Amino acid sequence: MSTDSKPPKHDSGKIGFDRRTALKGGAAMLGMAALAKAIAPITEWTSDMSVDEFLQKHYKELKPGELQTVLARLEREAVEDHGVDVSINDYRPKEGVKFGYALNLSICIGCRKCAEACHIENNHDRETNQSYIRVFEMEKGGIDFEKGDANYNHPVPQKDKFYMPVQCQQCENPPCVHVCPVEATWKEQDGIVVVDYNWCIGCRYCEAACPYHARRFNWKKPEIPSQDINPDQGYLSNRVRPAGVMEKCTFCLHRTRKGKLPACLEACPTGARVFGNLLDPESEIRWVLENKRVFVLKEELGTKPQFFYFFDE
Amino acid sequence: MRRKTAFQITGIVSLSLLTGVLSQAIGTSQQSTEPANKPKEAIQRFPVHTRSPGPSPAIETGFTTGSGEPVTADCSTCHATRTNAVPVRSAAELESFHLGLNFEHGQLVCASCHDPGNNEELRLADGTHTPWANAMQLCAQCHGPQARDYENGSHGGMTGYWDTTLGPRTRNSCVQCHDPHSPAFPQMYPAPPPRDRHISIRSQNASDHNERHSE
Repeated sequence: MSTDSKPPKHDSGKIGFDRRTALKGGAAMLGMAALAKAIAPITEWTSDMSVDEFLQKHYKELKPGELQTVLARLEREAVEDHGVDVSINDYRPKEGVKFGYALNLSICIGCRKCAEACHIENNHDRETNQSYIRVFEMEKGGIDFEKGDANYNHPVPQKDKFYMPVQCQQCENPPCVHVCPVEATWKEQDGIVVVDYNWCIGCRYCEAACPYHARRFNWKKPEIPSQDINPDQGYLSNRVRPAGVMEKCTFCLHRTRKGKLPACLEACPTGARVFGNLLDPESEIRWVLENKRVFVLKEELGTKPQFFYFFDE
Repeated sequence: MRRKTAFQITGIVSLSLLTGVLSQAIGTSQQSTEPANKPKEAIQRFPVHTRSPGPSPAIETGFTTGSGEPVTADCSTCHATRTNAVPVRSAAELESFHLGLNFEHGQLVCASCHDPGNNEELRLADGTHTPWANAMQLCAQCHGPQARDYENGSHGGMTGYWDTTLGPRTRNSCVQCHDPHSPAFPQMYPAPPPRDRHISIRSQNASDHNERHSE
């Protein structure tokens, strides 16, 4: 009896696969296709992103040895990409230093030399004439950016105008840092807000959050002639940024953490800019804060800028 | 008006301070301007060098050498034998020499700053002779607030180090930026504006972007 019941079973298996097997096979195919699609970017990385770069840890989690490896890799990549020898260093904040910047609106003539110096110092894209500083030509009588013009191109200063350079205000309460979903940007001990370009995912939340329009997005990799690249570079500041990441003014930390003045200050022909250590009571910046009529931009937002504007009597 | 008087007083007060301080500050270390009781005294500081406004300028005679170089002469070459026409208020009043000099400096006359008796030196308001290198003190007589701001590092361009324990600093004197005969800062063409918001660039970026994706 048992032998009678077996042949039909055997026959049904011979017919092929049943509905369940077909579904399984279909699902497996879909799964494979999805996986292939999912890992497709990995094959693309090889062209512009090394495995080391992909696996690189957050700046703050890098051990000293690992950081040196990263810096060496970046220097090697600079040679490959631009054919130029650069020195990329990790400049750390110094104890007892908190940077402050002040700008005298009575003296500024709107010559944009600061923006130009920033452009060169910080290895900005040449084609777009990018800079961390935007100089506004403002109507006298108030601070109304609606009436301000950052694209003026005529002899300066005009009699009925004043000029207001705006760059990162290095806020004590930085909205750009709060909104970053991956903590790729943070405020350092000396007050400078920095970006780990290798951790940034380019979501541009910070750009939207900044009330001073101080952050820029790299729509493409900056293009700079090899001989014009500033070889003195900082990991957190002026190294040539990859495409698709945010960047911002760092008070030239690759200079200022070595004790040098920022590039924009050195370029200022009128001496409208004052830079220094807020914690040093003998510093020039402290003298300005204590003796001049000083204000901060958009104070009502509670961002507590460390960039101050002042004017003479 | 009262405010103006106040500034003039400030200017006079700061002048008396500056007389001592400025001459020391020029070409010497910042150390000298710091109070003696500070513990920072022990810290080694680099010098803050101020570009010298001197030496006394030589004027072009209008002649050229055989190789085409202009022949210049010291002030005293002519002024030793010629009587100074005092008071001259503008170059237009002159018959020879210094013709075409653009002079726009308040109510001053030539002899306000130049010493008619000794043209290799400058003259302060109280009649004291002073070398060209000390020209900043001369300026500070009237421009007290600016001199005060300069002394405190908030007027005038500089290069070098904010932290003078790590490196030196170079500062401009008054005359590197202001022509003493026409001191108002001249109008100039600004460096070019950013091009990031221009439509042409933006559309070009978009095409670059598309190319990258099609690769």
